Amino acid sequence: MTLNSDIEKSFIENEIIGLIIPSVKYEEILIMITDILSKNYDKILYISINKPCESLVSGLKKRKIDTDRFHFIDCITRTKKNMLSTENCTYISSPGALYEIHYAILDVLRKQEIDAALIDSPSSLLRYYEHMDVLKFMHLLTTELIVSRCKGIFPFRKESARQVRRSIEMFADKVIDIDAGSEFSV
Amino acid sequence: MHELIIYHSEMSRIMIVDDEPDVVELLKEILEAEGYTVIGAESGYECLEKLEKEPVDLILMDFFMPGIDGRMVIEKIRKNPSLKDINIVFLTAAAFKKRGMEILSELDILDYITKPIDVSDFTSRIKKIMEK
Repeated sequence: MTLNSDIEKSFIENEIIGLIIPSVKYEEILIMITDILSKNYDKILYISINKPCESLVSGLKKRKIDTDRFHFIDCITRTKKNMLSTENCTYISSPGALYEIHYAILDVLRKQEIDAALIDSPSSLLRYYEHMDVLKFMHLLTTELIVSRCKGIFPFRKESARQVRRSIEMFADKVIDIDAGSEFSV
Repeated sequence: MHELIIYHSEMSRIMIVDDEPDVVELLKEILEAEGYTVIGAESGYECLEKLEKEPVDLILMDFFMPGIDGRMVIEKIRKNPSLKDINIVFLTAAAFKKRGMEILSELDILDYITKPIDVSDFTSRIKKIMEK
């Protein structure tokens, strides 16, 4: 079984999934994950803590991933320039505005039928918040995703935030620890 | 009218570990009223320190705590030959999922109780655990 099919199967069988990804392959594997999501679900929420929506969309389009299926929550662009939210993207004032991020997620979950939510990445929040605050936020988020019947996908860089990862594991159905040598296709 | 005093065995000692002092106080009151001797700890470190001096039969452990979380404290307890057999129940604000349940079993956790607690359910579950 390739990593692609293993991940795809896990998404089908579980609600809350953690992925531990070696840093060197993080971006590539994340693209593979978004590709799997776009092929299997109608509407996906992509919460980006530190990547601008514009560059995310252009990167995904280059890989021929259908970006129309995604609603983005962009936490970084408005720290550089003022942007008004659009139909497909909600701009947050800063990654440090946890309440604003939380409210935006709830708003999207309430207004749209989201099938899966990807947060890229929970460990990025540690630059702005204490470990406990991130953990409580993530815990609250998993509960809200379950209530909304929405899958939650939490990718982590293997080399970072070990304690947060371990804690979130308690509220996950499955955690996939990806080996640096795993074969996959994008 | 006679006062009803419930005498548990000398071994009926319970430790409550929670970073919220109000939770520790509340659970302490409830369990003391049931006749247990209750020790409070407001962090994982305090729990480990107190356990070295005061053995207990049961620990009620909060999951989310700053510094060292509940899972890590339990792992340390299970690795310590003089503490490893203590009964432990998790206190949590929400239900654990599939992987979480596997971890509870790996850590030999007896049960978990969700907060806010239902007092009568809480005391009856603690009683059942202590009678085992």
